[in-house]
Amino acid sequence: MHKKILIAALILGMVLTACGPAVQEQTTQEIPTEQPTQLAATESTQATTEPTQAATVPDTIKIGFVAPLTTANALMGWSMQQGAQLAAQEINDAGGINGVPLELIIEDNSNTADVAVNAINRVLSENPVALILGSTSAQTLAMEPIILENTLPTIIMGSSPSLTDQGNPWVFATRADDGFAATAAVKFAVEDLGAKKVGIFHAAEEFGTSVAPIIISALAEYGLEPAAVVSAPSTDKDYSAQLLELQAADVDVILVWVLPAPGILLARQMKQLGMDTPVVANPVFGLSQVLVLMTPEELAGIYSMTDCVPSQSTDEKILAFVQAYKDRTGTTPDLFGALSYDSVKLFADVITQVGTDLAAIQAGLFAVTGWPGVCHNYSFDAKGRGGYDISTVDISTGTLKVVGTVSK
Amino acid sequence: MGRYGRYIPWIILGCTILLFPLRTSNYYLQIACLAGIYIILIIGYDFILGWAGLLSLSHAAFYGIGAYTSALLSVNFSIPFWVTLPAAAIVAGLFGLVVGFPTLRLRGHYLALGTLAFGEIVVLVLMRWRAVTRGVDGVTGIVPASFGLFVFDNNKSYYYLLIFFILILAIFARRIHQSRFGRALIAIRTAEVTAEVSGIDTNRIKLLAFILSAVYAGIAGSLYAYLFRYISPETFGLHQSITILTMLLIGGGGSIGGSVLGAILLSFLPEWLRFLKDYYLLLYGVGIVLMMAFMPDGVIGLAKKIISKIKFRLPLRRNV
Repeated sequence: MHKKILIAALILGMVLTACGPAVQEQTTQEIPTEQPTQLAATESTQATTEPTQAATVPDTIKIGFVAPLTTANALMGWSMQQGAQLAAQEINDAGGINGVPLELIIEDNSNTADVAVNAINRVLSENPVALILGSTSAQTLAMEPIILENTLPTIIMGSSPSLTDQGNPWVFATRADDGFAATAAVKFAVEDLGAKKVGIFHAAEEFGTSVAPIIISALAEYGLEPAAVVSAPSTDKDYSAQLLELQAADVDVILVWVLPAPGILLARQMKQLGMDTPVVANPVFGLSQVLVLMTPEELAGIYSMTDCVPSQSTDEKILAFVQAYKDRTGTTPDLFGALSYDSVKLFADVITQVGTDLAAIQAGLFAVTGWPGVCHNYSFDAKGRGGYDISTVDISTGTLKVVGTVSK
Repeated sequence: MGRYGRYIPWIILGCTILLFPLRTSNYYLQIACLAGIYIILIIGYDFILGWAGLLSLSHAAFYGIGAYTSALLSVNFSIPFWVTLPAAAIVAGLFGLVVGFPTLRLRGHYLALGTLAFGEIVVLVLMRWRAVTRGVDGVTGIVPASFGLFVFDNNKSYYYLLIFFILILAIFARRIHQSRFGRALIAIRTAEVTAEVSGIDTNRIKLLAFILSAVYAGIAGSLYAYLFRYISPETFGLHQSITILTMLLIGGGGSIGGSVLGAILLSFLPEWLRFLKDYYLLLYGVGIVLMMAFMPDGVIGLAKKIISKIKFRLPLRRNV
């Protein structure tokens, strides 16, 4: 009997003790790999740095990065990772932040809240000075108490207004929030497409149901009432009942607020039912992974709201980013690639000015006004919201063609 | 080994567990806390799968019911931890009774399907009944657990709180296993008809085991809510039930040691594999398949095999 316990104790002991040194091992491993870059960087750009200052400078400045790199949203996470890594590479090629190389601590959140919390704790064990979250709203909400506890300046890429409404002064949102996007979608549908009888199709989950009333009140400002409001859970595969209801109501524009996979199915089933009603949708159709899955017939008549279309810009700096992203990945950057590129660059800029003190970085972000990124010009309000413009794009040609932009 | 030699492994084990938080990072402590919650879940699940031999896929739902009961009571009515925890256990137990009563008449695949449906219903209700559950946004603002003036608001203190609950629940489970009820469960698992003709009220025993496992899940759910202080429906879906099932199968059903080892191993394994970056979940999956293939009785089964080999080679001193 007690041998059995001994074995169990040994196994458990091995399991538990394996946890302790792991962190130390990783930190010791880092030093040899990072030192050459750091030395090269300091030699080339910061030759005049005073010795006293150099003594307190850390080996690297670490920025945490947690995104869905596996499971359902992996393609989105991939874009985010590419954008962030491109920015970090450019910063380090130019000599780092005040001569100190930037290091991204990248972890996967597996698209679930538990793993997201493990991932953020894993990142925190490396002592980052800033954090970028490419997570959905539920995961971000799960991580917010940890961010508050560790007073870590954090940029999030979720668009739900509830994320910045938590009163957490360390959270900064770079995307235009869903309420703003919905109002802009209504404006485009009524003013540009001349909609009179608007139909609404939204996901039956939180992000869809919370947007529906915003759309309805925005329509009311034009003296309009929706002709039909239908919804479907994102797990459904057949939307013909909802589409036939919209068809029966004889709508002239459909406002759509759904997730990527249902968006594709919806466009496909509309064509199968012979519906050619124009669609104005949330940013789903602005994502490159959605566009590659659609045929030209399905794309016809669809407009999508999107935070930005870097490839359509005339700004040289933005076009240089598009080219660098293409050279790196072979694809055109979508809004998530652009947003995470901006997030890394913005942090680097703030840290260059104020140093690595967490409170100083937070104050530095609040002080940002009109910082020119590739996706937006950023300024953060008291709640930490920073995305102030949204574009409407025509996707019928298979590429994103900007047809209008609304700014707050 | 002297007279007290047999306690040495226990002392080593106890010291390792108690001293673990002192020499580790918050990251590993968080995983250890989650593993602790899984231990309670798996010990509970073992009552129905390991002991009664019934395959239920709704365990995550009871876990979720416990978590939501505690969280909502705490957030809406500011009720303290020591009240919401038993409340979570009772509510989960009542759901266990209501669900178990009809579904336990089913057997094998049909029972798995019936409980699967219940699990899905619970997640859908948690997602859709926004007025009460707050929908997919989840519940935030759960007040930390406290005992008198001491607040369990960090992972280190919570770790010890969890050890306290694991000890109580494991000892209780052990007592149950050794009781007449425990033997009745084994009889049902081995041959249900024989058990019935031997005078065991199999329906009643199965229902009791089901309720008991739901109560354990409710307690685990409550502890989960107070650990993360944020809960959302996605955590309690089918994938969670499968994780629980895998943990028990890997650890080895029918023993508390197996439940503990399975929960710890599968909580730490994916995190250890993180250094593999993009491929870590792939390796994790391969690892599970290999363990299933080469350790059909779980880690504990393998340990038993090794022990019997050692015994064969070295005759035990007490036998001399």
